[in-house]
Amino acid sequence: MKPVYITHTSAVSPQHQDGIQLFHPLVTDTHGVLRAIEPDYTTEIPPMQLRRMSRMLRMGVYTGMNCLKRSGIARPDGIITGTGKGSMTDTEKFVKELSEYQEASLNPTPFILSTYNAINGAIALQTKATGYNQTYVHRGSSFEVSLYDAQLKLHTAPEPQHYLVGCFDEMTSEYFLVKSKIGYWKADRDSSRPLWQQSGSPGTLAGEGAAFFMLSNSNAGAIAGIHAIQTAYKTPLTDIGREAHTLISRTGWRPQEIDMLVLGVNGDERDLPYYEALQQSFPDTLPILGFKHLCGEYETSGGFALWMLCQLLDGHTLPDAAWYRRPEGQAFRPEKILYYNHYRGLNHNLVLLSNAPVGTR
Amino acid sequence: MVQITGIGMITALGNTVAENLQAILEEKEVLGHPNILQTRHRNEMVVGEVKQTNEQLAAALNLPGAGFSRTTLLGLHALRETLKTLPPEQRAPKKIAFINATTVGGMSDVENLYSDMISPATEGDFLSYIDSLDCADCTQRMADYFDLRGFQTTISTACSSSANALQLGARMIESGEADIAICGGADALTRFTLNGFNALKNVDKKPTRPFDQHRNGLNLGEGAAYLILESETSAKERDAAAIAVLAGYGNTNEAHHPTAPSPDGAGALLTMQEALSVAGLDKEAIDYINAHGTATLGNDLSEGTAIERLFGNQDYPHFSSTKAFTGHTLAASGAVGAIICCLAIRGSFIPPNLRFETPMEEIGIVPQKKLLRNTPVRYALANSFGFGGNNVSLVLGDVNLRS
Repeated sequence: MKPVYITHTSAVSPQHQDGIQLFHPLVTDTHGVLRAIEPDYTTEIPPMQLRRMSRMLRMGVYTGMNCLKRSGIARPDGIITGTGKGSMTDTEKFVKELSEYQEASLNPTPFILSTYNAINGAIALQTKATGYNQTYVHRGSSFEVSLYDAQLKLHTAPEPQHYLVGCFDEMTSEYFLVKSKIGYWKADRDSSRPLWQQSGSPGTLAGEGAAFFMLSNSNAGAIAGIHAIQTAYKTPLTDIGREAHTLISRTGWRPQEIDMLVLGVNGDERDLPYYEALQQSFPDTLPILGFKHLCGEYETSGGFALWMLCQLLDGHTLPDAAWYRRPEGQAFRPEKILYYNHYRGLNHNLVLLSNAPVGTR
Repeated sequence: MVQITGIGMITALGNTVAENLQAILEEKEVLGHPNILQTRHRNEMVVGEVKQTNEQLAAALNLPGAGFSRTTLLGLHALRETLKTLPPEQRAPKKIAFINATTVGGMSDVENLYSDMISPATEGDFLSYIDSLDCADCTQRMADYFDLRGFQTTISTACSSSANALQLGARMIESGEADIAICGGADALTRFTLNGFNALKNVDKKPTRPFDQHRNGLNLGEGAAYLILESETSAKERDAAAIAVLAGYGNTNEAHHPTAPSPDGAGALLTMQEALSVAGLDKEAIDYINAHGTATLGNDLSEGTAIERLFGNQDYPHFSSTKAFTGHTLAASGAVGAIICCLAIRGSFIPPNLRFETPMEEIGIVPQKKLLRNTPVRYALANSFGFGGNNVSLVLGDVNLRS
């Protein structure tokens, strides 16, 4: 398929983004959790609507609307979102109220807001966008498959079109508790140490956030190109490297052209072997961008990774702490990037990205 | 051309496509009080319940009695039937996508175990259901059971979810991204959805009456339905017979209200028009519409108005809501509707709109009340409209017209 281009981005994440330098000061996890820094939502959401929205709705709608504002596009041609959990707060609330009130006199609001497509519906409503509208809820591939569908849609569009594509997930204390019972989180976490120094035990950091992207089939004003997206289920450890190389060849690239990796390493010894297997099929000098020590592990953490990559490609300097393996020299700008992120060894995502061609910005 | 080479379904009407067809042709009424769903409303509300317990469903699949959500079990039953026309030895050389849809995933079981999940307990039956909290769980378990290894995803756009699965599958085939796409959806009855719709005052406590002036809401149903979409080339290579074609699809957002459609039917109209345009058809080609027809005041007014605006009030195609048979099966309903369209095309009949008595005052068209046999259906529209304004229409067609 033809590449698609990212022209604008917006994110809400656990890290600061408004200072002179990105991610300054760096936020570390507290009790194994990285919580999103919530913005002033009123800049993007009318007060009347804001009052009716729960936290996840606010975060998602804000980020989507902010991305639209930055791109100067009032009404996107399509809206596609991915989420692992949707508004978990509302789901939890409605489940509990069902038993508390014994199925009587229930307030329907949390039921409505718990629907996974509530955010793309709300953005469509706010922008009167009547075009393509879609929601993917495929756990650790929810975001990447949203990108894939956008590429599929834009591939067949004869005219330049603009799709708003994004993702969101929240970490609630209940969800944290429930998933702790099946060993999701790192028990012996010492947040004064970098996560990479604690990769010898099971468990990871919990995280959350929202990220939205304006995608187009036209490269005018592009920050980055997305050339290929592959989502797969239960890829065997021994096949990871080959899968990446096959995707690169099929895209018409050569493996030696890849000059940077973005990897979803998360400090969990059970998840690490997949990333190591991928690294082994590329030179051990390639810079590697990590991101889960900054945003935590969640189903759509890839949105934060892609957002951070776009900041780098757009000329921002990332702090040393962002890198899993630092590049040499300050002015490093990659040309061809391989992104690999998997969720608990089940959902495996590969994305090929490029720095936007010279002259498109 | 996207062909349909396999179908399978389970609803309150029957455990297979053949049983569902037979029940429609017999105008069988199956909506009733729930026995399996544990709800305080069980004596006052009617639903479309599959009359098999989780243990019975699991046993028939040679699965253990615990660990699988009811949504997964229903999905596995329907998918097993669907895959009869795609045996394992024919799968290996093909690029196969599995596109599932659900609105609340494993909530059917999570809602029974949630208090344990959030209690201090670290051991118990709930552990094996923890991952069923999300929508991908049923998809992944179904892929595991049938060893489906290709592209896989889950869609959740409320009541249009499985119709969206079908349009994605069709586009993947048309773009050469897949040879075969197995598309559909599953939803089990839950207290979560029953009480959610009830709190919205969208539930009729009596059997539902779509497109009737005195309609008073929906009855919830449960079920699962899957279709095999396939490129003509792939079907030919393995000698697979086409049941029908998926000729077109429309996906739009109404952008009107979080849960209610517009009374003027603008959103539904746009979606049906887009589906016809993608299919390259004039409206005259449509002989039957399997309406979304939930029997809520809002939907039937909006959809009825849209059908009238598109087709007029004279020579409009037959239309009916088969939710009066099955109840509203939520994420499964789009695929259920698509399969019923296939059956209508193959069997030259118009499914009846049960319990219709009084025409709606606002519109000048009425649904087909009685079963009509010996009525050729060249093309059929299947409508699915959801919360969030997520609307989808599909065009299904007679395979002989597209060759």
